[in-house]
Amino acid sequence: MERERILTVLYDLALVIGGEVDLGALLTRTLQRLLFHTSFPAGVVLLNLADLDGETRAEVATVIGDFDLSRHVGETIALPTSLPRGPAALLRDPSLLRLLPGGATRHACLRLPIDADGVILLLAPSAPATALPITQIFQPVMSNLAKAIALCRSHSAQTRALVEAKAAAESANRAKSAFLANMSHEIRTPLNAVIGLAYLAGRGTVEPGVRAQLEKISQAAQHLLNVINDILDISKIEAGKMSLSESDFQFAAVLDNVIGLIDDKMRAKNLRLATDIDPRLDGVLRGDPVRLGQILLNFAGNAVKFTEHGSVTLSARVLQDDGDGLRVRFEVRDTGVGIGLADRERLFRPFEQADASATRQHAGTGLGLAIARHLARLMGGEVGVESQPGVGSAFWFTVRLQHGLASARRVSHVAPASAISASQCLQTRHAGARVLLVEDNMINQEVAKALLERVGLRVDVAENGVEALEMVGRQAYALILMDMQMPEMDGLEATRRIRAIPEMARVPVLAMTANAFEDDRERCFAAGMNDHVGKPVAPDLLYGTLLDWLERPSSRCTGR
Amino acid sequence: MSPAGKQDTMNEPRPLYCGRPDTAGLSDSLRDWRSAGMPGGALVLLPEAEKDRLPSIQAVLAAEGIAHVGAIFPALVKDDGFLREGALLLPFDRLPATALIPSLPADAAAAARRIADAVEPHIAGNGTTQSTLFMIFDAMVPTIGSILDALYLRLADRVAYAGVNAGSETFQPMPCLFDSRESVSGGVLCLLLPDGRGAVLDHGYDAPQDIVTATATEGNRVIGIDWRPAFEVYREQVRGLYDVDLNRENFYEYATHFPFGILLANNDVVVRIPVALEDDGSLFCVGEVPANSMLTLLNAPRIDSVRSVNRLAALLREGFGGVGERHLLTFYCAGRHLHLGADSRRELGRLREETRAPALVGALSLGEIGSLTPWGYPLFHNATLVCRPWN
Repeated sequence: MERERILTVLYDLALVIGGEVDLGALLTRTLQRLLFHTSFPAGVVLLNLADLDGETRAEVATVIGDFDLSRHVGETIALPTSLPRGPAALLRDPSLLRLLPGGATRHACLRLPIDADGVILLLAPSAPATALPITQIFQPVMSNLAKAIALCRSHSAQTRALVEAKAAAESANRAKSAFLANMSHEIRTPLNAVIGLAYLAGRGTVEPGVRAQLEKISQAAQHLLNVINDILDISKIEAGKMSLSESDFQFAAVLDNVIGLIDDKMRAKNLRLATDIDPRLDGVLRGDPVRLGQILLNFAGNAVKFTEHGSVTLSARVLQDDGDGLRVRFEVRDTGVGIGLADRERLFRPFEQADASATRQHAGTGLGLAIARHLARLMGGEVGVESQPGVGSAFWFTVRLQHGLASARRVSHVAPASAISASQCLQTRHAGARVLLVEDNMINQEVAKALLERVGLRVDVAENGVEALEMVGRQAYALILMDMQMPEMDGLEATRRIRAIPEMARVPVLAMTANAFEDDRERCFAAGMNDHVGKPVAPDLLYGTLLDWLERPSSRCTGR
Repeated sequence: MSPAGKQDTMNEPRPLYCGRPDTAGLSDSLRDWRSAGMPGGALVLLPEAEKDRLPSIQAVLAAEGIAHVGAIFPALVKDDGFLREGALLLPFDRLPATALIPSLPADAAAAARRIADAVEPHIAGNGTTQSTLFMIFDAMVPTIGSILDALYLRLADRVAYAGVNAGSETFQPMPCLFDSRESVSGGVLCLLLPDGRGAVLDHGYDAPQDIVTATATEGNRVIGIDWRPAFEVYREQVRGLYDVDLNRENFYEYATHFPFGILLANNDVVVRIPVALEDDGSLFCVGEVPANSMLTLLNAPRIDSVRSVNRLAALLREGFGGVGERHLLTFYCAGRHLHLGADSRRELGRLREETRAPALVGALSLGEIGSLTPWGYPLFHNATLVCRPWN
């Protein structure tokens, strides 16, 4: 029987000691089981023993069952060496035990040395009635405990290093995110001036040479904007923060928009454009039309870029329609230079290009295809390429789309109404309407004011939120364009205060800001704004959005 | 935790047994207390068969101005017998601080925090043990051992620990803990009794004669014995000993003769009685067994009843100066009662004789809290008697 008892207790204690990696938990669980097996009511684990001048200093690591002693946990206490030092033994010297904090009522102590650095003292008001198998059970357990303590300390040091490394990485990531947001804002603000002023100057001159130069300025600015957008997209992908929106749309509108954006370059190269669209895509679909258009534009833009003669064909085929949704394969086929097998394999990796040489002919960040692949995967699909050098390439991607919920007439705009019609509509139907432009940057004030006045709107300018609040108190406005970052009072606070004025509850407030991140949009909507126009402002998009909000009935505006 | 109520009386009402605890019967029984001076509070013990009378009992006591708490047990202990009807009312001059905590969280540390939060404001801020934390758990709470461990980490030696489990002997969930306003399940009723002497506890189980090993356990479930499904082995053993085929219905009746034991280094044994058979063939105990540990299977353990009673009497003399003229509050494990059968009545008689208590009052319990040594680490037990002089 004694053998079974010893085995059972040893097994129990071994399981406890082997099952913990946290030092505090290890000591607490071990001490609990020792009290359980001995019926001693209290115990203390002393670590980091150091002898000095007849005393032993020890750190009180864990205490159970003695409230007074537990107040010393974490402290170093001095004890007569004869208490913590020595072999495993039952001590019955109350005068010795009294020197332990809270030890006045303790008359017996079972000393269990862990190793040279530590000891467990079990405390009781009197000695136990039965003999305890100290040497058979507790000594082997203590040597295992010493090893477990060393492992816990090592684990703790490693965990601490990992936590510190994680904190440093998170800090660096936060700094990177802040830098990207700041960089985005700082580049978008002057780009807004470049694009806006080039647009206005282009419409103000009939000199072909000057118009061509202004057009090149616009193209260069647009290219720079695309680079920024690609960097932000890849940063979001790396951070796992890229997400899709969902709305009803018509694929025809997405396709028209893509074709409109490559049309000039196609014409300049005298390339033929062909489309082959599955008629089952004629209805209303549900998904993220902006990101779908982004992939198509990337593929089509590359096709135009790398094709000098021949044609570019955009096709779309429904692979599966199970009633709940559709799986669609899109393809952009060109008759361009084609891509070798080795290059094809790394095309979709970030920062990789087929021709990465310093003498390459075609510009680009090498991010577009990587972004396209990630977007396609987010949409439940994949991307791929088939190509033959000298013959051409076919870039394809698949996505899952849902059947739309709305009727064809009520789908969201993918692109603004045609620029001419939007600006013309504004001129014919809303000329004279008074709008408030809240903007602190002088150049951007000039650009926005000129764009708005060009379509016949009357414009008042406030340089910050405080001024804006004063002005809306004096004057009624049909619409307010609000920057986000401004001195004295920012656009979010100004909007919240405007919305608190009962008669201003229905005035459309549109953010016009270089804060172009999704969470910036969310903050604008949360503050009470109705829509968001990012900088640099595309004049056509601005006109389309203004028209949309000025045409709405005077019932309460709803955003998004 | 409700603070102690106020009432001091000139006389001393005694524990009261009401054989017919309906409104009229209880009002009639309270005449004894009225004449002695109505107590300020009471601990009410009800047998399971009288559970439907609880609302009327609460109403009568409320009408008499007696603040009360209580619990429902399989049966009552009164003198040398076990009663399935009636009600026991144990008077307090004034109701001590109490806490009725319903629906304890499954996480034992969180459950212990709720208990400690309720108790701590009423106990000393240093290590002087001035009161006894008497806890009556709903037996359906599966982690009482772990709750005790966590509670002891926080309250340490500022209270003495004692207690029992209440509930149905069929282990069906029911609201078994109550105070003047409500009855709750899945929780604990805490009473801070005004001295730090706790209670005495003993089971008298001899060291087992026959050992098998439980190789897989989880909380209060034994999953495997000797590397085989637990029930498979268990059924073979019971068939060999009693020639009985175990099934869900007769399981508890035979399991009381065939409990598990956890061997301790100090030669004690902590008993765990399996009370139910799970669908997956694992055995469900009241009270945890150490995770994945070796267990012993106690074949028809012999209880040294005389030694157990003698030991309890000695502990009462040592800790309380004897029982004197006081009633002896006695909780008797329901599983022990089933195992001993008629001998359990004789054991109660011996306890009364040995302690010279004028009367025993208490209940059949479904698990007990205390230590086998007078000052020991508090543990959750099965198969024991828990005793303490009443007032």
